[in-house]
Amino acid sequence: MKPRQLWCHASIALVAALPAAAHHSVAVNFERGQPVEIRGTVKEVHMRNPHSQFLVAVPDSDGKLTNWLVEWSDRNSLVRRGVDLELIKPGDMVTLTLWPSQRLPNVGYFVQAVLADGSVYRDCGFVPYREAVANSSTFRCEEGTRGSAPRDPQ
Amino acid sequence: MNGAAASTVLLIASCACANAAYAAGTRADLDGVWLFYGAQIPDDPGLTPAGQAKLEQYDPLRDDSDTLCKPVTFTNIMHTPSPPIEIRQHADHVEINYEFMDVHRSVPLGAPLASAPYTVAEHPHMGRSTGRYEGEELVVETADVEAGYLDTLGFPGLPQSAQMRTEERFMPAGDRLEVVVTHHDAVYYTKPLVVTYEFVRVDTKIMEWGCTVEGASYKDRLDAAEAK
Repeated sequence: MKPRQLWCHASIALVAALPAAAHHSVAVNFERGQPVEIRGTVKEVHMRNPHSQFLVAVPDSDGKLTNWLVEWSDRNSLVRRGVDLELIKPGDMVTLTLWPSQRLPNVGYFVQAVLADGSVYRDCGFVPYREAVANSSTFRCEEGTRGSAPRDPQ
Repeated sequence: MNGAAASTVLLIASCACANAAYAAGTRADLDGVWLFYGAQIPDDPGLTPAGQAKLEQYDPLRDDSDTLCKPVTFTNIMHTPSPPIEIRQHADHVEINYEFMDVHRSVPLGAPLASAPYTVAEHPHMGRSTGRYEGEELVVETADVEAGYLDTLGFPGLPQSAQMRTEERFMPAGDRLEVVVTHHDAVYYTKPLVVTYEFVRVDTKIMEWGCTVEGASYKDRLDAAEAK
């Protein structure tokens, strides 16, 4: 079978499989589809590879603080899909929706943020960007009230 | 020179250039930057009892070498969705730059596999590779890899022994690229393990990865959680 023929044949199955494709640790380590919500003050922001991370101090009903580690995509893919790397800053009070870690307490994967100014940012993830590339169309993440056009990574 | 003669000269010149490129072993369609689009993984990898035991020992929080910023295998790298790969063909070698983990690979063309240099100089555990062209396809063979884990998606913890030999077949079709990777490892598999990757051409440049172990490892948190 020639490559082009196989490509066409495979594309139907691949489209169905796309939502399952994610960075290794996300697919294996987080409970996708069962989100939790936390509200707290951002202590640290690390936009880096292979994972971006936030450390968030979350108070309980008695005011006792627990540090949550929030993971997000690798920095390079956030840059490619036009995410503002200063969306969340140390000192911000945010409400985060997360997929919880399957095994680690107080660890989750970023799904959505209600930011310090009250606006909502929902992560589109990498798949819409990849689909836009594959279809030669312009990528836009419009799921939240905070979106921006992708920047040239160079 | 009249128009017809000039056209003839141009035609001959362009054919000569094309033939020279073909003889040197380059295929224009393959050069570029490619973004992962999906993969086809067999339903049953065909593990031997030793392979099944090894798979069951795998702990994604402790054994994923990504968390140590160590690139493991090209199968694993190509399976990482967001960072693209860049392919540049040269007369005597093919350069493959993987954004993930800043892996820069050089594949000599036509060299004997046994004496080929390590395909990534700073990561000898990734083995030795040699390449050749079969028609429009680039075929890369790899051997002399470090025993460990082959990949962490689909079947987290697929093992590989040091006897693993791999054939990667790069098949460009315009702005699409299909890579069929066949793994031969009788220690852990009862049959060749074939994984097919799809890529799309993307107008971007490879960026620095600069992996940060502090941002990758779960070890401290896992140790603390298990100590309670």
